[in-house]
Amino acid sequence: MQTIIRHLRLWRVFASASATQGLEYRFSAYVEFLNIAVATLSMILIYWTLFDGGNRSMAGWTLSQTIVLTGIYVTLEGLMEQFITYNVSTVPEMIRTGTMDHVLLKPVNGQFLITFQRIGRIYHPQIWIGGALTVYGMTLAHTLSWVNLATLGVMTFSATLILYAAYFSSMMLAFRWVNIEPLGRLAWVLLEAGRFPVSIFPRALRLLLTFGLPVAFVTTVPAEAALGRLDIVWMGASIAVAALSLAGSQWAWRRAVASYSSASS
Amino acid sequence: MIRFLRIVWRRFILGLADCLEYRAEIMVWMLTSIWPLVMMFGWIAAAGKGNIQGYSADDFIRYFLAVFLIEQLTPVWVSSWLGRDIRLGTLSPRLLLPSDPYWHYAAPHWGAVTVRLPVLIPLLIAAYSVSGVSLSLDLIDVTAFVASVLMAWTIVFNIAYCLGLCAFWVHNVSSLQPLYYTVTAIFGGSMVPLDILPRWTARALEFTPFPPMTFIPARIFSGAADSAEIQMGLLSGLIWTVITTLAMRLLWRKGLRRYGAVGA
Repeated sequence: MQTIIRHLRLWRVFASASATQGLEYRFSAYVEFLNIAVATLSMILIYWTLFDGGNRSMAGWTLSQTIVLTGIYVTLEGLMEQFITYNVSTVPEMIRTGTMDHVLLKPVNGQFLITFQRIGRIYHPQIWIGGALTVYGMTLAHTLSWVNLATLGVMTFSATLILYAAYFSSMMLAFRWVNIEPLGRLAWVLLEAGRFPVSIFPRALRLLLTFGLPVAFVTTVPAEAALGRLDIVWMGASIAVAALSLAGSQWAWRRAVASYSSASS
Repeated sequence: MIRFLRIVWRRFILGLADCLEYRAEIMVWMLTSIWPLVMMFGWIAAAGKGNIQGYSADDFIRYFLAVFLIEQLTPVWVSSWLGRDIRLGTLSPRLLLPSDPYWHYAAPHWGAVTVRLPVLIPLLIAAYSVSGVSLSLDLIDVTAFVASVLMAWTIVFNIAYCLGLCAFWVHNVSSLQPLYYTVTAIFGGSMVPLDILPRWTARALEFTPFPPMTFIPARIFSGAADSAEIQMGLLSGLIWTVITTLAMRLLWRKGLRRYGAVGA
């Protein structure tokens, strides 16, 4: 318990330092907001066309159900940028320049430090926009209830863990190969493939995206939870996959550090 | 002129060598740019057995495979690179070289495309045979496609170059690149064939440089464009190539005067 409190306190310090830093580049902040606004508005336009204003459905998914899924997608995108990639993407640079030493020498778990040291724009608007979209979609689909919101929360949390583990583990390869940036894209692929429900894909691809790559657990399963039609089996599976991925990322971290030989030695 | 061409050719060879070194990286980039295909499955599912504004499921396959190809042929990362060079002053040594820095930045982009091609073509053929969709292109279509892709590359690159040049005025331009990607992906037609969008949007987009970036070459490569459309498309591509080149030169001249050459 004490360690948890200690880590939470550390995280608060990191957060406020990041907020100060983020506001330093105001031009960048404005451009980022603009980017989110453009992406959101045009996505609404594209979905409106795709669903013909609600007269068409996509592989059994109606417009309102897809709005729920899209909300989750947007939220995850925001979470990923704010908490995950923003931090973990510094790993290759730290290895190259040898500043990874500073991380390893601190009396805190290195993986924790790397993961939480910096935080993207505080209150990343995408997370809020995504959340609002999800709730709006649930209202349209008449599935807004506390139970559904709770399961949605748990499923979104495990989706975040899966994305985090995928991104973190692939970045660990930077200890072996220097130029690793594109490998970080693999985790984004997990998310991007989840822009639509997995049921739109042909059968073979759908099986691959459920059991090979956990794409289904990233957006489809949370969306099913929000729509109140998620099987308990799937819920358990999602939590299990998240736990496994997290354990995998820890394993990757330990292995990577074991092979780390500082920059100048 | 011959001297200039030789310099550019040498630059290209250098860029190619550079890219060959990072070929694994380029392959991963390529295989992770799957989102046009995700969009494709979405549109196919929405179309079902019918069609959307004249696009059947097969048409969507043709269109989005073409989009995938064009995206792979026009990868651009110059803005943050150039922006950083201006901010940190590492642009200075490039100014002393006998050719304009433009070629220095362009060459690795050509190198990356050259490295991609031998993988891209078999991949595309495989995708067509798996999907079982036929594609009939005559020589004119192919020529028009090559011309339109060359122009698409130039427009995409020149605008990205201009965004990088903004670093002469504002300090950190790294956030402009993601915005540029978003805007080109949406209004260029990588997520939706532009002629499906509501009429007013499609009309408004005709006055922007976005359709020649993806939509027009994709229409040509999917065999959907008739000769009138091809001519109009190539014409607008040409117009935007000229405009963006002029804008790029103008910004470069104005910006260079403000250049402080950090560390000099």
